[in-house]
Amino acid sequence: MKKILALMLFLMLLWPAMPQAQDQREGLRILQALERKYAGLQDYIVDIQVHFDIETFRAPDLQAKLYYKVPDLLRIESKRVVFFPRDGGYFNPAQFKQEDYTILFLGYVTYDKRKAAQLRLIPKKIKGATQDMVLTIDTARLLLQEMLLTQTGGKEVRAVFTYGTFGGFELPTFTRLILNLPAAEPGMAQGFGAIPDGGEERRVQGEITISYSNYKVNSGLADVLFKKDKS
Amino acid sequence: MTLFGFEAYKTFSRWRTYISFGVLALIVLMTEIVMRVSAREIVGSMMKPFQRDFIIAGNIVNAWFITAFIMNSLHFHIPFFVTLVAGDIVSSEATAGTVRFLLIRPPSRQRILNAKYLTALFYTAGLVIFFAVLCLCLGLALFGSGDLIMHRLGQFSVVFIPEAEIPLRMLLAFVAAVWSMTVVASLAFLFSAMAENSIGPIIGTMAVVICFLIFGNLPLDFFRHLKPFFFTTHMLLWQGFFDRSIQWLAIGQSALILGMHNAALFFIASLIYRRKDIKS
Repeated sequence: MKKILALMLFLMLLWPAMPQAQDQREGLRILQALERKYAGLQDYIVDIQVHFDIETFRAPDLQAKLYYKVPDLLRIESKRVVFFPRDGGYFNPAQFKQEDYTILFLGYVTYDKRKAAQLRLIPKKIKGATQDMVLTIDTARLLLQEMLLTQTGGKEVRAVFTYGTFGGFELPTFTRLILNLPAAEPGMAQGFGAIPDGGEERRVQGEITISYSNYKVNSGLADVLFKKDKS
Repeated sequence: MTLFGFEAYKTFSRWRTYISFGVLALIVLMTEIVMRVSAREIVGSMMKPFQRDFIIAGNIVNAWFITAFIMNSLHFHIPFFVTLVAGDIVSSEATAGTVRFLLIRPPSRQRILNAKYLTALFYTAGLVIFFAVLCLCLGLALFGSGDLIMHRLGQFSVVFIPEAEIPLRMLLAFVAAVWSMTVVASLAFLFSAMAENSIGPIIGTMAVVICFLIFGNLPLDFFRHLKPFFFTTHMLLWQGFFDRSIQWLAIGQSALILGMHNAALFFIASLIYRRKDIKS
């Protein structure tokens, strides 16, 4: 009798954890499937055009050539000065390594009339600005459709991707980055410490759009190409 | 015109006139060499808010950027150099005891004053042009060319000016800088017309410039309301040429206000000088 009671108690304790573990497995399964889909992608070269539509960021359209090699080598070549978004600006299939994140499965949603899974990824070690990201993945096509990034200093970036097929891989042809940022760096005094109107933080909203063309996939880029200007 | 020639000759034959050019050259030279040595550090500190969000490729620290950077200190050091000559140009006649010899000659007091004022303006323009040429030539030799990135410290604010547009904008900015410095010259000239020695006009002009700069930056409503009326506010009109689209209306308004200051200051200087008693 005591054994049965102990077993029941043990099962009761486990009960709330079971669906959570199941969810985590579902999240991992989707990420692994996404990783497998792009396992053959070793590198790519692409021409990019960046358009800024932000009130406080007044720049003409910028053109450049982007070189990428797994896992995270990146080089941008341009005759002119280029500001290229670090997060969400380029496609990096090796970006979501399960060992780097705590993965939470948020559930299934309908995205663009298709079934999609939403995953929340929390970096185990914060390296860049991103503190938290929510991915919306089309489960049938295994495509990352949307990425919501929450960054240090109250920055929010929503990246929306449109894909085309190049060299057997579905790669972005167009990315929209919708920004919602604080107008001033946190902790930065303005003038002699002027108080913002109404005590409210002023925010900047805008959009960066990136067009990608002329993909060259798996052309065997050497590591040395990325050495000098590795970003 | 002959009188202006004489005045210009007198001014530019004094060795102290060249102190300003020498010190200015030293400031530009030192700044550019230090910036050349620590270019990476400068980019790192100035672009820090953006480097977290953006990969920045290309030559940011170029001649145009350096020139605009040094131009930001224009309203601090150039006024001092301007006052060295403009504050001395009339009063030095009294100090040297030549004022009576000068004023008993056939040209009227007004014509003499006109010639001196034109010389002060000529010197001011020369100083700013020298500054521009030196900044750009040295900058192009040390840093090369490229697009101009203007950034407000601590804010998510960037203006990106393509390289092809910069030479014309830079030229217009320096013309505006000359115009803004003429107000300092006019102020120093007024004090010089009132005084019997050169120290007073130089210190007086600098005191007025510094006071107005401080008042204009105090975060108090009283001064915020007055700020549009300070000539020091409009002296920054050259910055309007480095906005994404040139703010012609604002620049024109500032230029007009500065012009009115010039006219008023010269008019008062003329009134005072014409009535000045040189017999006692």
